[in-house]
Amino acid sequence: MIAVRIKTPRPIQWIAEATLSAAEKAKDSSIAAAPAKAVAIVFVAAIFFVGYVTLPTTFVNLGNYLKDAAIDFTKARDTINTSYNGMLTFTGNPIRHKGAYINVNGFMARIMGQRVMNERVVLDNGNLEGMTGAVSADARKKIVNSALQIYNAQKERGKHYLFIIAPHKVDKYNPGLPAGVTTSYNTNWDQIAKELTAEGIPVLDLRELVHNEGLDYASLHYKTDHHWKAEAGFWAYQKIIEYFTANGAIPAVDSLYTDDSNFNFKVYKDRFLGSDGKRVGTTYVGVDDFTVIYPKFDTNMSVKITSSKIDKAGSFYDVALNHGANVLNYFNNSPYGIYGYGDKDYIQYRNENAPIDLKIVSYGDSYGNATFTFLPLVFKTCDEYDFRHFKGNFAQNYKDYNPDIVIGLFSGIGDNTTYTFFPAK
Amino acid sequence: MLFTSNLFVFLFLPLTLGLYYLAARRFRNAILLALSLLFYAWGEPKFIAAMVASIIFNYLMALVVDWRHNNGMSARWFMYLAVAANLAFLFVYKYLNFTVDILNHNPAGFHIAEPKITLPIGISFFTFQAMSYVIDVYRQDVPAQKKPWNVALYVAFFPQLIAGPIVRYTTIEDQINNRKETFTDFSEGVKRFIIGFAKKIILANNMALIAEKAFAMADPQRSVAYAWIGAIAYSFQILFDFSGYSDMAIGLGRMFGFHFLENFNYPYISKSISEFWRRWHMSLGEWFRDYLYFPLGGSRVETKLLLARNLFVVWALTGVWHGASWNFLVWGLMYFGLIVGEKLLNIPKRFKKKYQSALYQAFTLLAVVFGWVLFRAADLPKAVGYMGSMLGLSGNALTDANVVYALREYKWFLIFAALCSTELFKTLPIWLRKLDERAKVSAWKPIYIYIYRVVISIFSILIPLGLFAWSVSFLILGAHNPFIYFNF
Repeated sequence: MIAVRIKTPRPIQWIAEATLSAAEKAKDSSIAAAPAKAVAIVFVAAIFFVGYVTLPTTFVNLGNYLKDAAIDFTKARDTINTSYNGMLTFTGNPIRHKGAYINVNGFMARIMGQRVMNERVVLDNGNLEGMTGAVSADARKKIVNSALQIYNAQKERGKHYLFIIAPHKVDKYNPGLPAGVTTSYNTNWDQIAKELTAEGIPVLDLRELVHNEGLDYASLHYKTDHHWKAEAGFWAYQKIIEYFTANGAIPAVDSLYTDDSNFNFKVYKDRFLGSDGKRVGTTYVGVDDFTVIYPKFDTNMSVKITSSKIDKAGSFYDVALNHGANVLNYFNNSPYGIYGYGDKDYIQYRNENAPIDLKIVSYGDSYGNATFTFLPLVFKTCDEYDFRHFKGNFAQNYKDYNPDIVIGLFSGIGDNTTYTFFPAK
Repeated sequence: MLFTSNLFVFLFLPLTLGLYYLAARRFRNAILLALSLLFYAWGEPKFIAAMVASIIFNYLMALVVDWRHNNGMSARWFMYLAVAANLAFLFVYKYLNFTVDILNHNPAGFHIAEPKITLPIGISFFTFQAMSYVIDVYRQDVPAQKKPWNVALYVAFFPQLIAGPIVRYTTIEDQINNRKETFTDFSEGVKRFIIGFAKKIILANNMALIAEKAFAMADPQRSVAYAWIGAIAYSFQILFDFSGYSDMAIGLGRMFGFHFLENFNYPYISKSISEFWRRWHMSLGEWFRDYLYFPLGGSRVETKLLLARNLFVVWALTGVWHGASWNFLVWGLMYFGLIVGEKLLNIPKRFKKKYQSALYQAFTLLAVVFGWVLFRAADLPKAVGYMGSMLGLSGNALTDANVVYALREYKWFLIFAALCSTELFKTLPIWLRKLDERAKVSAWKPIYIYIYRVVISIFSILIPLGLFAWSVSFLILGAHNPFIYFNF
């Protein structure tokens, strides 16, 4: 019956024919107002809940705010603005269910086919990426000079140095960027690589190796994080060993220590929402699996991180991996921190069972974490620095430690790429 | 404090609602006034003194005017004094910098030190409200309000304080003391607030991203297609920003039992320029009509020259009301020219054929879009340059990657903006209601009517709540959220 009526060819006339009594209309009107009332109840409950229940610090500080306001209204206002707005933004911690709001936005952006959300771009391969601006000639010179300091120090002592460029998420040969979006990431590093090489500094450009080996960028990186996958970090570890073996810096290494088949790759499904994903929610491009890689063979090593009061001895699995980071909490945790304990200033690895008795210094950004963690499997003594956080005296450490090989590994350009290793006295 | 801020939505509004509805009726106006002053002071505390001074002055002037009327004396000069003082107040804060700048561009080379006065937010709105109050008392449309806090509440009531609508005292005189809050009204107010909130955050702010990029580009770099997309995006931005603020103001008013008049009525469906201005910022148009155009004689003057003079005054002032710059003056005068043309040529009534009306409607929309370019550009040369880009006169390309980007990223926002500019979403519920009424008197089985109502009710609940959640998600993300009324 409904179908017949809906097919009526003259809907306007058909509707106009309808007549209701005044009483019926009043009753209808009351029914029609019901949804609006429900909306009002939910709305009021929501603004009270978000504003006054999920943000208890509002009330904790209210007395102070009022006291301040009595003395200086502007100061109190600015404090409230800063603290309150800080709490209610995606970078703020106190707001509960923060992820739900971000997921709503991500969901809508996804169904509307947006390729850019909250300063993150979806590449053709589905990975999220932030865009990079062009680096000035001055900034490049600082990077080259920084590397040159440590390279020259090694060279003077007849030791080795290697600067490694890690591939970020945009493939220089097939960028996969949506129209209207540009990034200078690869052109920046191309230029820096050229300038480093011109100074005689050995450069291992992993972007070229990835291209030559036909590896897929989508499989190298977490789609929701700015880091490469643990598997890619492990691959880079293999390439470093190959590089130093090939140039004679180290003897041939038994495949036991490098071959995939001698390692466990334990995959945690849907475990990880990376830093890019935290900006757009789980609904925009989904979440990542996360792999914990550790050797099948017996290991016996120690890890010391003075600043974090960590001093452990045991197997690689027990001491080199920070299992505390491997927790499912999309918006407040990063399992990537399982490697390298998550950007520590200075880590000392010792492995008496390692086949090569050389001293390694590695430094770089957080890409290095997924690579440097594996170096102690081959080298007896490995020190890893993150110069974004390191406040000690590197020059003294360097003198005392006397490293055989120094490796810098970078994906991004920042303070740590321009570190002054040997400051003028 | 902006309506579209976390602070307002999650701290100020619940606090205000809570205090208001928990308080005894006799304290409610006092609560609204106190919180309105706090709301205003939040932006810049020092300006509160200027607003309070304006309130006290106009309150006293209205009392004097009323007293003289009641005692059979002329109050005309007191009304003139009030108007002059209000205009002087507005001039000092809003136009003095601009005037000094003009004077400093003189062939004699003399220079006046620029006073560098900061514009108090919403000054044009509250000054016009205060001024109209005194004029209405002078005209004996309303008696003078004896209680100063009632005048203060009328002028400073936070929903309409910073972005309108320009509420007339005659509209809310009775409501100040005799309004009755109902849950139905409150619910409608919430719904209206959410609609305005969503218009501003979802539509206007996203359109702003396109427009700001387009207006920031150098003329030769801006392709023809992108210049048009930028201009259209700005046209949507200003509509949904301004009408969104008005919706929020009207909705907030209803939450506290006040009923403000409408300020926007789908202006982009107008069939003529005159109609556009009857639909756009109606409270401003009506203000100028009632307090300037009609007193000058309106259209009932003896000569067309006088009519043109009246229109010139109104449109020049309408232009500069929006801001102290040449752009706004030229923008106002553009409308003067177009409206004079319509009046003299009897447009659109002279168009008898549908295609003629349709063509003129298209012309109206085009004129409005070009008008917004004038309005938005930083200065007149930039406005001319932008229009040159739109017409392909800047040596610019026909299209570029920015066009692909804008259409890919914002296509749905553009489509929704276009649909929301029409009466579609206003008509839809009416149709659904009529369908429902028809079902009641038809042979529909009760179960079908029930299912129909449940489905409609669910959507009626989910859509506004969904829009609110989506809007809030933009706030949480710290997405672009500009405030475009600094000049007003």
